[in-house]
Amino acid sequence: MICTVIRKEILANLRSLRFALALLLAILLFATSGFVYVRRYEQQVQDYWKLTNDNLSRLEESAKELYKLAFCRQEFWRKPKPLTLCAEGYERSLPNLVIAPSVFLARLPVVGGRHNFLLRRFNDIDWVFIISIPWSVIALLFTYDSFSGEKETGTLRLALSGPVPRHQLLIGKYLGALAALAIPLLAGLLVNLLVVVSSRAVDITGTDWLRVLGVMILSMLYLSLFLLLGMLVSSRASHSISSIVVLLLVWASLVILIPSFGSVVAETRVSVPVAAEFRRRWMDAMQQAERDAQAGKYGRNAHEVWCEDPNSPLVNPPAAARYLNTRADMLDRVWTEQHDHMLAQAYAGRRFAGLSPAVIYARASETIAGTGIRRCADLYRQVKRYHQELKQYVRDQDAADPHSLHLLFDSDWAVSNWGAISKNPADFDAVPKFQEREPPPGEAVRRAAWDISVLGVLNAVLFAAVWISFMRYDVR
Amino acid sequence: MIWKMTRKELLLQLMTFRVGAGIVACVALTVLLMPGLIDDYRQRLREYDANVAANDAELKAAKVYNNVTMTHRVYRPPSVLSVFSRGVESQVSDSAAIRDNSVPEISAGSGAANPYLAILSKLDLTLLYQIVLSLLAVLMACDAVSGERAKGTLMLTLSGAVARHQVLLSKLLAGGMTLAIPLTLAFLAATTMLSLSPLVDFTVSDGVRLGLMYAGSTLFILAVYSGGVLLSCLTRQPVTSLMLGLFFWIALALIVPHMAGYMAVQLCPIEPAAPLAAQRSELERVYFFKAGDAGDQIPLEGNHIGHEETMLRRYDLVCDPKWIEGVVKRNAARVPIWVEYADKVWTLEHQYVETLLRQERLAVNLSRVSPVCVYETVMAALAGTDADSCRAFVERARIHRREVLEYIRGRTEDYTLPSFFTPCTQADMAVYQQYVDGKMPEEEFQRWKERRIANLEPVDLQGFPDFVDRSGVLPDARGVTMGMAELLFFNVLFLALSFAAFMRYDVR
Repeated sequence: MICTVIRKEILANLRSLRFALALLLAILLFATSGFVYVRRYEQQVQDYWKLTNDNLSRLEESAKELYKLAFCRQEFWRKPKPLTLCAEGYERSLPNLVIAPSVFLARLPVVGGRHNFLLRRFNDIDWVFIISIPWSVIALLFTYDSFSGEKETGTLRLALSGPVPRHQLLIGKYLGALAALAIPLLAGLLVNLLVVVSSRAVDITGTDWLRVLGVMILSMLYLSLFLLLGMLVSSRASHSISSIVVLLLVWASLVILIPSFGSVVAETRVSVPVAAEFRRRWMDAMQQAERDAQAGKYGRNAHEVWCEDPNSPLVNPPAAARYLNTRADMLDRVWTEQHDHMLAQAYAGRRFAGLSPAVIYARASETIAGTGIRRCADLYRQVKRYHQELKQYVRDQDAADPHSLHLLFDSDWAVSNWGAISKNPADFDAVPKFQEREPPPGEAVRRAAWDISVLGVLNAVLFAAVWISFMRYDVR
Repeated sequence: MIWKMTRKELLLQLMTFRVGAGIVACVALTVLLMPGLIDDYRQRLREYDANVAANDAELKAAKVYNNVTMTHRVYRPPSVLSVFSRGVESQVSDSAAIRDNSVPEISAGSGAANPYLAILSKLDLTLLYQIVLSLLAVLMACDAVSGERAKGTLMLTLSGAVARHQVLLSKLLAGGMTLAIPLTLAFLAATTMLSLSPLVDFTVSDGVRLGLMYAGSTLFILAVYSGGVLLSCLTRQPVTSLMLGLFFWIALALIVPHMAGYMAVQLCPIEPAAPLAAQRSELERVYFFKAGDAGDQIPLEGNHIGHEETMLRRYDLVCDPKWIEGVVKRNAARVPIWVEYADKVWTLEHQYVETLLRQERLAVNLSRVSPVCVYETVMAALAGTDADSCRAFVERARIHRREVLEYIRGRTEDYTLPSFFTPCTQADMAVYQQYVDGKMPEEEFQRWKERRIANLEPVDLQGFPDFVDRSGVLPDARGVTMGMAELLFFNVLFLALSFAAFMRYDVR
């Protein structure tokens, strides 16, 4: 009997205007998204490799003298990801560049490349946008009249006067609506993937396909929420117009207003030191380190770093190394704290916005696709890890040079003039190069587990609510 | 007859659940959101006041004219109406440095202080009205004609002595009046909460703009309602017109605003910023050497003692006449080179900013197909938070920079007076000479130095040009007029098409 109900619901939806409009919208949106994505991705990849190769050229130039590797100004760009097709995660507007003047310092991430700060904030037309915003409204339109509409036309009473138990009707309607909603959505996704794959500009690996499947499953879980919400309100309302009014107001609050309020919460509840305050902290750290050096904390004449002759009695290279390394650590802490404050502010806003299922869905999709703010924040941490690797490499290579003082510290002038690190050439092939690492799919799912569970629980709760509501629904 | 019918339609509308729910939702959401928005505005206002006060303190603490162009910044006050529309205000810098070696230009703003906030969309009242009021308008309009046809009452009405155009006009008037209720209540609630909030000051200009915002919002809501009525006149069933109305709403309110920006980025790509930075560095290198060479040709003799109050407030505390003579000549040679460097860099930056503005204008033009986007543009222009308002601020900053440089040039006789770089007086020079000649012990000189630093008078800044930010009631009358005209056009178009459709509507 359930299958009959499902089939009936699917056929009824297939013949409806909303299905036709949904199909048309899906194909147009997803096709446009696919074409624009391919063009943009090609440009991004081109830009990325040009900038990364420029960086490698600088590193290769520096490898002619070992010590210069530590003072090579490097730029670390975030690599374009194919899965921004599914969940762009605002990467267009998030920092994608970390500039490091040396291995002792990584500046705060900035937005580089072709970013236009004058454009009003807009979402990329990726899967997450299409599904979380317009498709959630369409999901409501598929079920807003599932009970109240049939009650108005009198067919619900007729259906239940037969041997169809209520729960079968309920489950049949739900599955029928889900299937009917999935058809245009899958058609759109298929068109999108065809456009992308046939362009040959985007290389989607086996692991990526798993992530794509993961995002698709998440999308159905998200849309199911709105189908159930539509059914719940429909089972409480006597007229379909009343249910659509309530549903659209609830939708506007959940999908548009609550996520937007996250920015107000972030800016008013969590403060980030402004530029002047950050500069002041930075200067304080510099001056504190200098005061300690002058007071002899690091040894005699630790602050005398401008004398050319390393054998001069004014110079004490080990003390200078201790002073400058401590100063570099203090400054690095100031930068890292500022970065942590920035992240904390953004996460605070997002946590509040997480009251919205749209944000939960977006967050989970970004985690599975490996895009978004978490990835951008990871870039900074990975750069610092890379710096440690590079420093270790320089120290290891330097150990073989008997003429070097074997002291690596944050002053290229002094390191060069005092011979603190070897000036022998380094083998460029052996020099560590920065490679952005991404977590494996299993790790991504583990990170998204909370959001996936929340969506699952919300589905279960809503289903239970619809069940209880419909069991008590007066069909007359 | 029209007014009788309008009254009837109005009463019918007011007694429906959707209108009641819409009014409650609109007002309740406004009241719920306003405290957060006002808090955010007050925080920005406090930051602005602190920045301006810090800048004034820096100016008052300047001991030489050179310090002025090392520290002076002008700030754009946050617009009180940004509560209604945030525009691009937070994306663009709200300050401009007044330097001799750089010309103010639009740059990325406070959002850049925390670029991670890009994951959160901005909230303002415009967003609330764009979504909630427009949805209400669509829901009200969807069965205005087709609903009556389905119930059979339209046939009855038209079988009487009522002309079709009167029926339609009364529906449109009643719908407009009904929608005016939640809009007016929401505006009143927002304005009242804003004006009662401490630290918030409304000027006459703000009042006029607020009035225009209300007018713009009314035109917007009427345009959406008229569009809904048009769909109702083209369909026979209210369900059909509801579906069509909502799908069009999805397209115009949810998709077009994002698609326009998305397409503008593809159709009008911009160059990466890296080559600009490289060109700037190259110019800096060239002019650094040029200024250095110009200065090196002038021998610098004599003695001096520098003092650093802060990293940017440095000067020669005492010096001898030979030093002064050398520095004066070097400044006279170098400062014009730095000013020339500033102009060249600005030309590069300005060209780049123009490409950004071209892309932005294309996005705005592409979005004009949607009344929702036109409404957003009008509200941002009226709130003074759109890109053109930010440009206007930077233009005023450039004018202020010219005035400041002229002032300093006048005060220092083209950088030839010592007051440009040192507060040293003849008496100071005499004391210093004694010290240099060994006639004053070191300790005594140090004590004198400390007393001198403590008693230094700030440089005379009488007549220093004031920075005037906001200019007049409407920052961009052209932009606002065009936006309002477009909204009016949408109204006229939908009304005309509705009339045409209704005249041929089969009411059976």
